[in-house]
Amino acid sequence: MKVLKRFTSGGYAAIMLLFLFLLAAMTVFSIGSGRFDIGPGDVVKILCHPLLGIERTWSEQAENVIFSLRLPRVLAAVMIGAALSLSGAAYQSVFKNPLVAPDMLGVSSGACVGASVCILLGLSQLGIQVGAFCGGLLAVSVAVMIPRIVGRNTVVMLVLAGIIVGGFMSSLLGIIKYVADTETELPIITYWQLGSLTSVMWGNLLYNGLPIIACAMIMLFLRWRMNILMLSDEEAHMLGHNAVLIRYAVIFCATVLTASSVCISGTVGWIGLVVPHFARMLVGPNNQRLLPLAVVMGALFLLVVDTLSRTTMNAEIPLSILTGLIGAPFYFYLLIRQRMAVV
Amino acid sequence: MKLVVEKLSFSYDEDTPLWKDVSLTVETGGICSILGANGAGKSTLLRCIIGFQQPWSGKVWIEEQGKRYDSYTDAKKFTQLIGYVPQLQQTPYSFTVRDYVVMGRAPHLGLFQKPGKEDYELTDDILQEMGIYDLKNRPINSLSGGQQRQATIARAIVQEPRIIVMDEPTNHLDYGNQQRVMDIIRKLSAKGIAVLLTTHMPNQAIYLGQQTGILHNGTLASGAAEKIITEEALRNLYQMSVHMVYVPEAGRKICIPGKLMEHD
Repeated sequence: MKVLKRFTSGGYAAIMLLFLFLLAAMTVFSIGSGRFDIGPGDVVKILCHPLLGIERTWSEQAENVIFSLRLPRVLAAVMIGAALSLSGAAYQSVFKNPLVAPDMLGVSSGACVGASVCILLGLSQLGIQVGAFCGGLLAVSVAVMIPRIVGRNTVVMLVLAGIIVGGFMSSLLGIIKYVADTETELPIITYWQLGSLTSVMWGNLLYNGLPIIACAMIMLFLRWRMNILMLSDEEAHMLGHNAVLIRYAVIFCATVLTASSVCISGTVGWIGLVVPHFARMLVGPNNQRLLPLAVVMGALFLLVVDTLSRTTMNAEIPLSILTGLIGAPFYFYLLIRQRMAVV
Repeated sequence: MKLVVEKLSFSYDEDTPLWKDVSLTVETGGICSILGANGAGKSTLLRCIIGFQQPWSGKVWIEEQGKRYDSYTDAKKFTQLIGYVPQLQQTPYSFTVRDYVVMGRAPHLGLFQKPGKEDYELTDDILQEMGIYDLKNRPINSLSGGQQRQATIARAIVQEPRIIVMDEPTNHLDYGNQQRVMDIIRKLSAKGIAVLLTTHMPNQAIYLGQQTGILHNGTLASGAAEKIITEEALRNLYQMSVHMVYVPEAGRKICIPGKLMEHD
């Protein structure tokens, strides 16, 4: 924390560089570690090999492990961590509430219901992912419609709508789990709900990665505008007559990020809540600086968690167990520090 | 420049209007103060004028250089011409003063654009002028009420509007800061920026002079301040005894609430 403090005084650029460096180092370390150990030097050489054509001094097996197993998984961890953290930061800005998580409008619970239905129907891995994506989008669409039906298009109304949809979805999930076959289907649903990156392959990484990258770019381009959405509704209107439109665009992009992530990994909790909170403590609430930092920190956090999950025990530990075990106490720690500092 | 409000009516339900047929005009550098009891609908009137809330009927537009910009159909241009200073409130996130004030540039920037060097230079100039430049890196929530008020007004000025609408700008401020805000309003007016504000203090309306409107029983009576603010009007409005006394040292009438003497 002391080192961090010194970097904080060095300003935004210093903090950003520190975390980029940590992310790069962790990427190399993570690719090298596992049941088949590869030294960091070899990892860098193997990764650079296709580009630079360095002479082969390593085994064919090491290269295979890296390119077909480790690299897609590490990339998935980086991308999903970044996506969840970015959408959490964006939701917290748009809803003017630092306690909002990316599944505020029922994305995660909707995706869970979609995926579970597909598991019950005995669909393939691809079918489950499509089901998750559709379930997530459907839940958010309903949540966004509720304020319009009620006729009060305010932020508070949207948050309440999210609670309604989330509650309804978790009851649906309860029914599905109740009727699921306890020998075959229930374990899949439960495992899926806890999140894991074991099923990552180049294929699903690619077709889930494209919407994630596209929406992340839009949000990063809009990030200064997002500051205005954090003011009162009247002020937001006066400082940009299209505030409502931008708010929905951001919600849509953040939802796609979360839904696409859930498709690959199942639901992973805590990242979208804790990481943006920590980033905000370091660089303040201005999205101009907050969002890029949240992206890098989120990537780093999930990469660390996933590496722990696949290397500490013989069997893989589901991600949400680790993010919860690390994230919850860390959040508590952040709250204590925040109470002492004047924020 | 001319802001025209024409026969504006508003109602929360279908049959009883909160106020109706409100008309007023504010021209370049003009000041218009609106008095009214709690719940008379002053804030709602301002929200309808700035185009945030939809009135039941009526129109609002700004005439600028021979062109007319409606609050709804020309929302983009309209929001560039009109700045808004809301009632004092805590923001959930505490931006630094500079980050907060530069947001005033938003109506002039493209969707994906962020403020550039000139925008920050303008911001710093205005902060200097308002005397809060030294606070520019402080979180806004750590400022005193008066300083926060100044930052919000600075944000409206940075927007370079032709008219600034202020909702009870002196609320929650101490005696000195209330007067400071009054002086800022007169300075804005002298610079050619019109100000439309609501207030609970008749003396402020008298001090600012020019135009006053009294929103009472669902209608707005407006005109020259000295004609509109009378003992009778204030008694009606606040349902208590009020006296207007001319103070030669001040060169204007002062409004005194309550009874003048014990036996009065």
